[in-house]
Amino acid sequence: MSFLDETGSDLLLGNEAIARGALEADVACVSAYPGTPSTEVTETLSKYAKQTGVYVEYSTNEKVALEVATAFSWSNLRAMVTMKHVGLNVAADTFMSLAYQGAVAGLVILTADDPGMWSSQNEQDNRIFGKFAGVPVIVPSDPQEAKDFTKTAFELSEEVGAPVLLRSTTRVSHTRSPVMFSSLGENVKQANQRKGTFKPDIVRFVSLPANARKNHPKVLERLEQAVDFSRKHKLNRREGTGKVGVITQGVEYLYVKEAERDLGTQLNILKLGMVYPLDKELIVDFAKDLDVLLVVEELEPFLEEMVKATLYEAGLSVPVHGKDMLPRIDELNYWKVRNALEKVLNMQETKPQIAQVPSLPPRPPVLCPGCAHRNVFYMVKKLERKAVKPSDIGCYTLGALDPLKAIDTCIAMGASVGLGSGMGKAQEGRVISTIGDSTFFHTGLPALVNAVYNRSKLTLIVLDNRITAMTGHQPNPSTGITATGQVVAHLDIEQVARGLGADYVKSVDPYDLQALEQAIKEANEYTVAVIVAKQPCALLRQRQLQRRGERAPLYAVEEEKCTGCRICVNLLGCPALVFDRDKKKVSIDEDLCAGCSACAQVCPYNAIYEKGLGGEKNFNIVNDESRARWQQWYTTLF
Amino acid sequence: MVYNIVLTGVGGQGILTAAKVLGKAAMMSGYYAAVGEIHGLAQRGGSVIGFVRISENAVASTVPEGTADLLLSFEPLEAIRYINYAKKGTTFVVNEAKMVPVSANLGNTVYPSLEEIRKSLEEFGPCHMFDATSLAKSLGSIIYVNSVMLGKTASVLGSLIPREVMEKALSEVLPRDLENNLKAFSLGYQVS
Repeated sequence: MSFLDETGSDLLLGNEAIARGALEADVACVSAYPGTPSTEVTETLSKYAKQTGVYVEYSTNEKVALEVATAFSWSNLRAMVTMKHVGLNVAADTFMSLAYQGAVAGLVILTADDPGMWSSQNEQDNRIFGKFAGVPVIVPSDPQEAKDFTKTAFELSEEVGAPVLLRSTTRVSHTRSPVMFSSLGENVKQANQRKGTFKPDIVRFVSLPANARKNHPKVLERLEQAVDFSRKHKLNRREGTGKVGVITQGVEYLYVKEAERDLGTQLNILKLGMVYPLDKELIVDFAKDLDVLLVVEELEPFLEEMVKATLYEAGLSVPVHGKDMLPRIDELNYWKVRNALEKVLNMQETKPQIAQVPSLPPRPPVLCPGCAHRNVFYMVKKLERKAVKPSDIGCYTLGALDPLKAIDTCIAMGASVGLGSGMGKAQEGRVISTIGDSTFFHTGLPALVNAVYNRSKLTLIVLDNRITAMTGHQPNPSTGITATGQVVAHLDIEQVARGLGADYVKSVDPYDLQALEQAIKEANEYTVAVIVAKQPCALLRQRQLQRRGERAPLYAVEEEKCTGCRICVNLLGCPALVFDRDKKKVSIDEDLCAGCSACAQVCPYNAIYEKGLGGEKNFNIVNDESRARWQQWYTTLF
Repeated sequence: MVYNIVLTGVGGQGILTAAKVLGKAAMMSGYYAAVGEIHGLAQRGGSVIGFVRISENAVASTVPEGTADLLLSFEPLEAIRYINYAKKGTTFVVNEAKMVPVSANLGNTVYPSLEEIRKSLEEFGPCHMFDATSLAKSLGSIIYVNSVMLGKTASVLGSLIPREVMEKALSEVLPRDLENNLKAFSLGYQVS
């Protein structure tokens, strides 16, 4: 079974199913900024770009990605843009105006929401964004629907002329289940790389106030047409009969169905595929003969409030339950839904038998062995305990955890630089901001300009590992490779910072702790200082070395010299360092060691050595040879 | 019928790959399969949980707490961490090779002994504990741990998913280095 087969079925991740749906819809462009849980859509399509002729790009941020996709739509080519929920905040400025201007060819915006915040800073409910902007919102329940609805979303967008918000959640995007294929789009099948034509339309495409006033009524017209479309294409469907009604959507629908089976009861279900605009006639028709109605939806009472208003307008007084029985925070699950159903069914509530988890050593995610971020945080903490230390979104947010504890804040993409710029004015102390390469390009750039322009005292350390690591290694401008593997110029952050007018700019190898220390000290003499810590993602580098049949040198502990002081463990917290409580000695797990040498450099007893190939022990860690090796890792990773 | 499998371990051990193999094998055996994964930040050396549900109907991919039929743990401590998914009669397949979390190295907390772990699991149901990591290493690398674990799982699942189907699913998901993965599977299958 191959992803590009014409027919058949396969076990697909929800995000792969969305990618497949886009190919069946004959999409011409897919753009994205990676973000969990959305990433695999564009990742999948990037793999098949050549075979399908689809233009795939990683854009520098979600706003740019939306604009790129819009350009294709306005050139009469179908386009999709994918992002995580908070990405839509970044794209919001364009998104809100785009709603007025509309789509030419189908334009689908995937927002992958993250109820429960598995890998996000909030659990905002982006269905509300659709209502806010006045664009239709489509919500699939499982991978099969994710594929089918993606295709439908393109048709809806094209038919009514609105961009369409396809709203997935972690439990849809990251569920793998059987998906039946339909045929691929004609252009995709022939791998046609398409060029469209942009036809100017001043009133529509130039958002001057006079034009915008003309475009606003169209938003409402499109919403009315979307309701007609949803009826024609049966996006909302009814199941079952009876006096107990349930309105639901998304993965919540599957919880309802499973509970219904287990309770041995029959519910009257309205499953919505288009959650905005609401088909009011359908709601009234569904509710008019019910005794009670339960709205089962994760997060906000989005449907519940609209349903209540609709029934009030229609003069119906059927009791409507929702957030009085189901939590407004976190994901829903089988038990929560089952217990709510038991309540509306006047059944005895089933208390699940759940064993208590004893107190255990916690295992939070940690920076990988060999990760150079660890070295930067170690040094920042050593030198600048009192500084204000804003940081950002990426693996390096883990710098907040024990034992590094070298960051104070994390708000949103790029905020380390804006907040740092403000902290330089708001208080007297030193400010050291840390940000990754991809996040720097995403939204760090304008804030750095701000710091330079407003003369804010700030040291910015860019943790340049040449990849967008946390989401699974997508390329970015520092990588020098595009989404589809085209080699382009590596955008050197040192040059960028110089160009922006920073007062002090220095590239350092964070594996060389002395050099790192010197740079952080020097930076203090300047107003805006930018240090670019250049060392590639250790996880990726280890894989690359393995592929080339090479390996990083391993490090080991000389037992007689180790005093068991645990300074290496306590300062670095590297998972490869193991402390033996009985022997009171540290050892290095060779399966994990990535050969960064940081432990050897911090050991006050010089007890850690590099293992030579012939078994010799090298205690002189930082030398011309090792520096050259580390530099080579950065320059020749790709 | 719903058969609930919970997979736990440490990010990087190949848990999601194993879940995918189980899901494929279930689908090949004529069932609906739902595999639940968590990606992103959660995978960096942290505790990981995945789900596989084998069913006749479409179901959500999350296993409800207190309903696991099989708990497959790639690391002993992680079996206890997700004991809230177990019920009376849960079968456990546990790799007994410890990975000591940084928090225990820092001296804040103590890693329980294997015997303590086994005892608390056996309060629920049968527990197959063995050193999957050593078996993997005997083939040259720890990367074969998931194939070893899948082999043992196949022997536990018995007729629900036949061994040949699991091997076929394995070969579809891990076509590279298949020979060693099948050997690892076999080592796991034969372990008592």
